Amino acid sequence: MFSAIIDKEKIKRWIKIATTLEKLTDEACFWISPDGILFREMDTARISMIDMMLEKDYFLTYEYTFEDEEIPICMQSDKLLAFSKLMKNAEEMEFILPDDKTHFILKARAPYEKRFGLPIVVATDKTKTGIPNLDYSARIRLVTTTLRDIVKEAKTVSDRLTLVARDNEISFISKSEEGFEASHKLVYPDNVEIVDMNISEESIAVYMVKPILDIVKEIAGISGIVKLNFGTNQPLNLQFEMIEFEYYQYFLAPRTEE
Amino acid sequence: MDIYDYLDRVIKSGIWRDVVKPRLSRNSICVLCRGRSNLCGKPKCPVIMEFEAVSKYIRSLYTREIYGNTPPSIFVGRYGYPKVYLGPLVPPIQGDTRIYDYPEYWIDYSLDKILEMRSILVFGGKRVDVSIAREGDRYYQDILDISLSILSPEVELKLARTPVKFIEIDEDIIPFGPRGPLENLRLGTLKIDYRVERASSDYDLRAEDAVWNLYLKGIPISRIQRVFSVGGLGLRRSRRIVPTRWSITAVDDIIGRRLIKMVKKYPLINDIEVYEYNALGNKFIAVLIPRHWSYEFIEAWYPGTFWNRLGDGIVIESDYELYGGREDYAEIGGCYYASRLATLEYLNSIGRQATVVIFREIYPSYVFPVGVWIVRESVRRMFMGKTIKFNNLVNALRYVYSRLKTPREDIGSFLLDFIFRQRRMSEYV
Repeated sequence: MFSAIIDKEKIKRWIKIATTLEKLTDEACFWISPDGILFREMDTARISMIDMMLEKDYFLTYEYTFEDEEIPICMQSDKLLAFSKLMKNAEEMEFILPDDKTHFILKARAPYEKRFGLPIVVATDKTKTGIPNLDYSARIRLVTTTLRDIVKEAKTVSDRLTLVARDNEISFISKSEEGFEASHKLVYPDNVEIVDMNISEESIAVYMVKPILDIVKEIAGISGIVKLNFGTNQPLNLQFEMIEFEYYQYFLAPRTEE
Repeated sequence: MDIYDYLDRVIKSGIWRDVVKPRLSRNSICVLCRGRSNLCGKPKCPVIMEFEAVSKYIRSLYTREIYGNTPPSIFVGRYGYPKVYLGPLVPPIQGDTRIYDYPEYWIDYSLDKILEMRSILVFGGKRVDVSIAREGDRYYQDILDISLSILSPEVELKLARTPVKFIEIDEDIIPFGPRGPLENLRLGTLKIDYRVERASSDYDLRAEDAVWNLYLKGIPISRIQRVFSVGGLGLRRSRRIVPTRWSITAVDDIIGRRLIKMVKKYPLINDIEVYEYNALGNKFIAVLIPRHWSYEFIEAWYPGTFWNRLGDGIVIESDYELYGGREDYAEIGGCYYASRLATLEYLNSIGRQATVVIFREIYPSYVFPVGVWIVRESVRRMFMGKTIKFNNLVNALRYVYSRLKTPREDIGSFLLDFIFRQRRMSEYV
């Protein structure tokens, strides 16, 4: 069987993460192994991807007794989120995969015991999604809430966001077909919101705004700094700096303009 | 130049000026035109059309006492919300009048016929607070009973004064008969639809669940909207009257959202499918693309139509939703949700999902806007028709643009742009 327990603080973090998984996909698939819990999936349209890992040492206790090296399990993401939210006031929450592997169980121990079971699909033929191996020409570390605010404001203008990085600055430009415009520029080291910046060549790429906002507005609550990586017509990669043993990164494919 | 002079030309002898009141601004194009020059570009003058429909029944309509069988039909106004006008629509005729408020059957009717049916429905309303649905007095109970009725109940309306027909030129107005303040309402024998009544008497069932249950039982959308509008569904503490206009969109949206959940579980369609349908001066074309569920509705209003009465060019509006759905109300309004519902019904019936783009062109021959139902029923009818299949999106779109009058470069489709320009993560993994 599999069992892992997290404390109250991490329950709140888990709810934020589960919210982003629910926004990404209807069916959340996890890989459970002796090393931890991994989520690595694309959305239905295959334009974005979340790569998330909760390592073994992240949990208060972690027990994995299955003979398999790792087990892929899939469940309804909206119910996973709904049940997780019902645990928000619990002192501890336990993830359980029983030996029969029919249900994934969320169990709260305190203040009183409650448990919710999600029917699971053991996807034996499922293969793990690979990670894009890209050499980004623009790498910027910035405050996550700043990125969230910029993306939120850009969305009021357009569905699309153009990222332009050159020298020691990055610009976020959004233009609507009706002629409305917005731009945000951050310069390193003038703006304290930028922690670090490494731009090897001028980089321009266009991305959809909403998928970025869906992720950033949740994760900004649990991550202080984000590494924003991209290149001309390359995917956007957001590596959020999380707490120890918690790993979360996001990819979004670019749009090709003209 | 007085607007009454204009109407006097139209009004036959023996018609009272007091019972027909135009609600046109003094600088309205209608005042300048007076139905002679067709300045609005329509083939027929909508004011004259509406007036002619009313004038046939002028003597039986303009009396303080109306006796007839209501289809059944209820109207809830929106002005003054939360204090709104609520009352039945009653034609001065006896017998089975269900067709007068049964838009599911109107798609083959001409605009004149629809106008004629709607114009003899007299509205007798009382101003009530929307929260009356929670407590419910005798009047409210009568209205609720009418909305639950499956046949056309006999109704006697006693109005405080002779009803007045307001001639309004407005894109949102559904042709409508004269109206007056209600003094007294008497109801005859009712035959209640027990399925709707059961949902209405369940005060622990949420309105959304009730709407969905009724839909699954095969109750027509127009009947669900009626009982929803009078606040006949939902938890006791949450019940309230909903203006007719809002209730139509709300019901389309509620059912649509449930259908989306089902459709998302189906496999993709195999080919690109194109459908076309023409109704009452509207052209609808649907393109179904073998991708996961997403939806866009694009409308092109031609000069001379209600949304574009004085414009020189075509006015194009659109709204869309990707797989994740919308977070806000579609600016384009009720047509978006009505068309989405009909599209989802089709996808659900074939057990497939698709990315769907619906084009609608509205020509000046659509003289009167007759309500959102025309979109829902046209799209439903369109999917019953012949399909043309393509295995290449470029060819499919070439065909679609050849069928539309609107120039290709003027139609900005977010979803088509998304399909052609958005790259996928799978290319990088």
